[in-house]
Order: sequence, then C-alpha cells, then structure tokens
Amino acid sequence: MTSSRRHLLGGAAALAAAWVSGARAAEVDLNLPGGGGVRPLITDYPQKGAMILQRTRPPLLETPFEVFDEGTFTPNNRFYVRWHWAVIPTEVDVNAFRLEVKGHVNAPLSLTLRELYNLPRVELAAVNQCSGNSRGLFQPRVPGAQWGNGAMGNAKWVGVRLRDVLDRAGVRAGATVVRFGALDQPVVQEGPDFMKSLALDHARDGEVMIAYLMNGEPMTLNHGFPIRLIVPGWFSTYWVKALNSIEVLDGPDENYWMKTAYRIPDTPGANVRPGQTGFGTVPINHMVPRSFVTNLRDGAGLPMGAPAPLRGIAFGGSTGVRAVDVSTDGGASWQPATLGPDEGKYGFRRWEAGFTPTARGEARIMVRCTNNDGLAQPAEPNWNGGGYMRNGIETTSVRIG
Amino acid sequence: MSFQNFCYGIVAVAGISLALFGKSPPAPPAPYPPTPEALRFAAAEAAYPFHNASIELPAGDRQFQGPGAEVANANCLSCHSAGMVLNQPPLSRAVWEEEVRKMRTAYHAPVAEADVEPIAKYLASLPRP
Ligand code: HEC
Repeated sequence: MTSSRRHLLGGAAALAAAWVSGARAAEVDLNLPGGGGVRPLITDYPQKGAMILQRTRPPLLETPFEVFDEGTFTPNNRFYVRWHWAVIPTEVDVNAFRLEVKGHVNAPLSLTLRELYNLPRVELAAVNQCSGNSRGLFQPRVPGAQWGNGAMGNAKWVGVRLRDVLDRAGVRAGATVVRFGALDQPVVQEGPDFMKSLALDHARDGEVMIAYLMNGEPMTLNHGFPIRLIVPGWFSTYWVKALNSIEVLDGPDENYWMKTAYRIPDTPGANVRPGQTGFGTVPINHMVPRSFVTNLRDGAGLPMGAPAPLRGIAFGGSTGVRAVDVSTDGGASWQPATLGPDEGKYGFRRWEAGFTPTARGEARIMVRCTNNDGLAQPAEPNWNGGGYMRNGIETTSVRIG
Repeated sequence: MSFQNFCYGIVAVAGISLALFGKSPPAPPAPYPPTPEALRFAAAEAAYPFHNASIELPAGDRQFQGPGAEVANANCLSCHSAGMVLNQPPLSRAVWEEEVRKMRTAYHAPVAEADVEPIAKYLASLPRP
C-alpha cells in the first residue's frame, strides 16, 4: 500500500451529533499499513481545535489532514503538538522567567523576557515537521509515535536572532557547539533531560531564531511559551520549546538526545534495507522535499469527463520549491503544477494542477516536489529503523466512474 | 473608550512600566495631547506578548486490560499514558522485550528485572487490529 491519505470517519458534523447523543466520539483512521490506525478525534484539548489523539500524556496531537487544504499557514489551534517528557511547563511566571546564556562565553547572561523583546525583531515563515512525521506509514512498521502525515505545520514566526543573543554574551574562541535546554523535565530524576544542539556556525547563521509569536499570536504553552527555537529547514526536534538555556560548548554534545536518539543512517536519503547493518549514523538534520494532494482523499470518487482540479502543498525542506509535478496515471507521465505565491523558502508552497478523468476505474494520482538544490522526492519510500525523514512520492488513489 | 480614558490608559501603562523597572515613581498626568513617543510606547505595550500563562493538561486514565495487565499497569504508566504503548504496531515478544529494556537503560524506568519478561509477554499477547 503506497497510499497515505486518511479517511475521516466522523467529521465535525458527526462529532457534534455524537456529542449531543452521548454516543462514541469521532474517530479518524490514519490508514496505517497493516491496520491499527484508528485514533480518537478530540475537541476538548486545552487551547486546541479538533486534533487526532496519538497520546494523552505527554501530548502527541496530530493535525487532521484536511486542515492542510485550508491555506498556506496552519492555524495555531490545529498545529500538531509533541513533547517528550510529561513534566511540561504548565505555568509560566513571565517576570521570574530567565533565559540563561552560559558556558564558553565571555559574559554569561540571564535575560528577562523584556530584554529579549527589546532586541531587533525578525520574521520568517517556516515548516515545522517532526522527525518522525509519517512513521506509521513505514513498511515494515517500526516502533515510535505512530504518526500519519499530520505531524507538520507551517507558521509565521516572529522573534529575535539567536546570533544577536550569542553575540551579546560573546562566544569565546574554541567554542564549537551550542546546546539548548528547556523548562520541561524528565519524570524520573536520572532520566535524560531533553536538550538539543547545533554547530556554532549554524547557530550563528542569522536565520536560527528565538520566537515569541506564532502566526501573529503569542506562543501558547502547547507550542513552547514563552519562547522557542526556530531552526528553518531543519526537523522539529531542534526547535526546542519553552527554551530557557543556551549553553556554548567547546566540544561535541554527548547528551542522549543527540548521541543516541534521533540518529539516522548516514546513507543517501537516510534509506536502508530492513535488517541492513554496517552503516554509520548521524544526528538527523535538515529536511527533504515533500508534497501532498490536499483536496482529495484516498478512495474518493470522481465523475468521468468533469474537470477535477487538483491542489495541495509542497515544501522543499532546507531550501525552496523549484517545481511540483503531478501524475494522474500512476507515474507514467508527469505535468508541471502551477505554484502558488512564494511566502518564503522554508514554508509551504501551494500548488494546483488541472485534471479531467478520461478513463473509468482507478486513477493513481502522484505528486513530486523538486527543491531548489535539484533534490526530488524518491519514487520508492525511504526506510530506516527509527522511522525518520520519510519523503517518498505520495499516491492518492481515486475511483473514476 | 473615550479619548480621555485612552490617555489615562497611556499614562497608567507608562507608570506601571516605570514601576517595573524600579525607576522614579509615576510622573503626574501628562498634559494633552499625548506625545508621539507615549503613543508608540502604549502600542508596543499592547503588543507585548508575555503575560503569565497556565494550562491544565489531561493525564489520560486508560489502563491496560486483560490477563497479565497488572504488571504493565504497575510499570508503564508513570512516564507516559497507555496510548504510547497501545498504539504501537504489532511487535514480537523479543522486540517488546527490547523496548522494555530501552525504557530501563535509556529512560531509567524503575522496572524490576523479574518484570521485564512478563511485560513483554503481555504486550505481545494483546489482540491487534
Ligand atoms: C522512566 C520513564 C518511563 C517509563 C516508566 C516507561 N517509559 Fe516508555 N518511554 C519513555 C520516554 C521518555 C519515551 C520517549 C517519548 C517520546 O519520544 O515522546 C518512551 C517511549 C516509549 C515507546 C515508544 C517507542 C520508543 O522506543 O520510543 C514505547 C513503545 C514505550 N515507551 C513503552 C513502554 C513500556 C512498555 C513501559 C513499561 C515497561 C514504559 N514504556 C515505561 C519513558 C518511560
């Protein structure tokens, strides 16, 4: 099964009906290969709209896929939510909060939010995608959060440059790595605190940002209030939420979340065969291109001869979208899609393509993004044991009748 | 809001922020009309994104069910709710044992050695869709 569309079994109307009648709440089937993809669609999570419940504590909430059809930017209350440890900051006193900048610096800082806010302000659109987005679609299946394709979203982020903060503290000669810590904490004392790090040059590239606005609104606690890191073009594991510590190191970061977790094979596309051994691993890093049809779901029916325009989203990963191509015959022929407005190279790009079905039966609609580095989505889905970085060409099968 | 209230608002905001910064006490009301700086300052204050926040998150009360569930309920619900475990794809008993050992070594889950195999056995026995 190559399909990755989901069937919405309930929908908002059914959900409302279920609520009134006291019947079972709505469910979503993520259509995971081999089954087991049915999840509750919940509407009572604090500060969220309807979300797919993957795990209650700590929350793993997935964006229902139809949200991506609604626009280039993902509304904050529909944006996916993901935490590692269950001791999540549920209360923040903004006057007591400090962002510590320490380690291999000339002048350690303890910044108030007011001081941070007074630094030059920058804005950027960027896709935030979980390293394990689409893990549930891996074949063979692998353990981990069993996401469909909704552990991603696109937002406008406003904040300050990480570089400006580092320069205020003055990075000392010999520094190589910057490590980020946050308000969340392990449930058991000896558990590995969630921390991530970036090479110093990356941290100082002027694009990595400490954000306090998301789509024009203050960050909510679900998304990392008061401040979170934005690492454009890189997977979300680096976008540390509720950031409260920046530590400059003069050697590699040996902490669990860099050294052991979130590692991918050092092979092209992080692709290996199940059971393959003898390859090295590296920390997951920049994203790769992806694209999706958003206005049709798998199994939909379309009438013969009637125009059925296709539309969707694409993103280039670490650079912008050069082209989106669409096939309506299972990959035998491809036509270029028309790209929507460019809202920034790290964001979603909308696309459209004409389609008028001319033959009865199944039509396999495929979409392929090529980014500005010339990197295109692979025809065969990539596989690795961690369930990371999936980006094969997606197929949506529809019935023409 | 009347113009007068609006101007008092600006003065009040200026006063509060002076107090926050621990400088001199609030100045007497400014003469009308407010200066452009005062207006800019008030606008910036209105956009200030940091205000005390709190949220109450659900804990999740789902339990493991069926024969052998006690050992999973006793060991596997403290760090994450049951959904983390029950939403996994079908895994062999050996892979479940690896998972439980990973919880011990990587995350310091206080699982007794004697409980590792019974947990793996229970999880591998669960009916899968
Ligand atoms: C000491 C805390 C702790 C305990 C107790 C614990 N886990 Fe975990 N578990 C974690 C953490 C942390 C993760 C990673 C969570 C994340 O990435 O969101 C995890 C993830 C998992 C996953 C997802 C796959 C993976 O390897 O990341 C499974 C399955 C799992 N745990 C099963 C279990 C089972 C079964 C038990 C009972 C023996 C258990 N856990 C007890 C902390 C714990």
